[in-house]
Amino acid sequence: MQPTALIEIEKVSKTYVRNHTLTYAIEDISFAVPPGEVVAIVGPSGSGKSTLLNMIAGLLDPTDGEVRYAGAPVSGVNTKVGYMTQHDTLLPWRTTLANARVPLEIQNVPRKEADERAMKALRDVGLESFAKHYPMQLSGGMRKRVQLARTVVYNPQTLLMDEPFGALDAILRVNLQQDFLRLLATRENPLTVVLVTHDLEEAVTMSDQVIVLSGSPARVSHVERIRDIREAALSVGVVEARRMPEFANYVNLLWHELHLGSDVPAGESPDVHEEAKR
Amino acid sequence: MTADVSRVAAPVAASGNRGQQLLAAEAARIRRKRVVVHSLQVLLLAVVLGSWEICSRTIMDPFMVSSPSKIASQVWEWLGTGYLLEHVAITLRETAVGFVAGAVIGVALGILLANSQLASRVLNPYINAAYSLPKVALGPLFVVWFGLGIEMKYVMSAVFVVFLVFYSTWNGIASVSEDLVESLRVMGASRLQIVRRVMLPSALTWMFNGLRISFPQALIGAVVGEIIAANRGVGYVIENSAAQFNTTGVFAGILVLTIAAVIFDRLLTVVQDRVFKWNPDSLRA
Repeated sequence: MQPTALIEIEKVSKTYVRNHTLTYAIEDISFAVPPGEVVAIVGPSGSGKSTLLNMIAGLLDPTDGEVRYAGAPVSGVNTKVGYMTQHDTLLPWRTTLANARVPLEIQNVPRKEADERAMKALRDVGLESFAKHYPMQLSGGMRKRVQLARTVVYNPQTLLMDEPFGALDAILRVNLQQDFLRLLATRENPLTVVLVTHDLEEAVTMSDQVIVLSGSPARVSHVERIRDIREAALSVGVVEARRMPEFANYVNLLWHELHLGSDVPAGESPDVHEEAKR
Repeated sequence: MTADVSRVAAPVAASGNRGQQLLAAEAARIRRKRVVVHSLQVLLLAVVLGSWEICSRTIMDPFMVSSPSKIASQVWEWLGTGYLLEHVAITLRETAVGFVAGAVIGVALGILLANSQLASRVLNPYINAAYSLPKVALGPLFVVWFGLGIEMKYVMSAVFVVFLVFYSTWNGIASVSEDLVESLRVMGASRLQIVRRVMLPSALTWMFNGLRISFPQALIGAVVGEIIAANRGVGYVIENSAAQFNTTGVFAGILVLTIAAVIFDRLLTVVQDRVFKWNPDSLRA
């Protein structure tokens, strides 16, 4: 365990008890996220990826093991992180600007300053001209952008992203990935990001490290360090970077690891998490 | 409606005349449909009133069924003497006080109970029992407790309102999306901040529907109170007319109550559309 890690997951297991039956979601998982890195967690659906994020956010407690943030065990909601879930969590009765402002209101930032900062966050995601629109008037991609703006507006140290671009079509997805990489690169103090995805290409494009979860209950079956891809995606574009031979190698390797590591074929493990969360 | 057309028109404008023609045709179609509906509504009213008038002059006893012309002249006469206004004002005052009191108590109870699982579970059967209780039956008790004065009507009206508003608030808060609540929790929001920023606005749709359906109930409560015991108010006018076998007076009172209820429902609808302008349904209106 590196002492410099910002997030440490140590021997963490999660068992859900529901209707008098036990469901083992994840078992004996350990990894560390160094500050400023983007770590992607991949695995078939139901492999407990979201469970891990919820633990880092302090919304769930591990059954066994410990989750530490900046050296201290996470207990209760972890307000150092910004959490962008796969669900659309914009408040429908608030305009785009008022939605982006919510985290600042909660910190009692004065209204004028909050509006300015929210407006800047909207500018960063290219939506300043939609400040007065309601979520219902925006497209799915735009709503995701507003969610992103809202997540970064209060300068959290860490971003937790659960399938952030999952529900979008392929073109929008690439656009948003590109914008997100740009956003990461322009931050003064680099954000630490934990990105949950089942899209291997997304994981390779965006991250410094990919952690592969597989099996049921899920364990860490592989950790791969990704080099040069993100830099390339930033300089020549996501689409170009994906033409690099290294990119294909990484994806093949991870694909292989996903299959090797699982007792059941990938994608066929029971949807443990969704079951357990509701 | 015009706003709607222009919104649709904007992107098509460049495509020129053909686009304008299609839009104009659609607008005309909508207009025609509305004219037909409104004419039929007026016609239906005319047929009903006309047959009523004819029947009361021929096959039916006007003593029992009165007639539209008599009712109209009765209302006109009451208006002239100020008799009607005096009693309507009393009834509206009772309704307003009962409505506001019932709504405030109902919303407060709804919020409190929705935020405590234990309290909800414990109180649930009792609330259900109280809800199914015919509130009219409480009238005589309220007479004993609060006397024959206007306070009794306030209470009666509030009791009719409180359960409806309580239920819709409770339901509204219970159906708040857990995802929205959690998204604010991770931002470090306190319980109170979550109530204010997520639960209340989200429950507002439900609450408002509760308020809308309970306004007529408030009116019913007030009138029932007046019919039980009063010497003022529209309920008293109806009761007093009936006691004198003046069916025309009874119908006139009912007519006035109906008009008041319709006007208030329209007013509340306007408010609702303004409050919920984020809602796609109200955006279309």
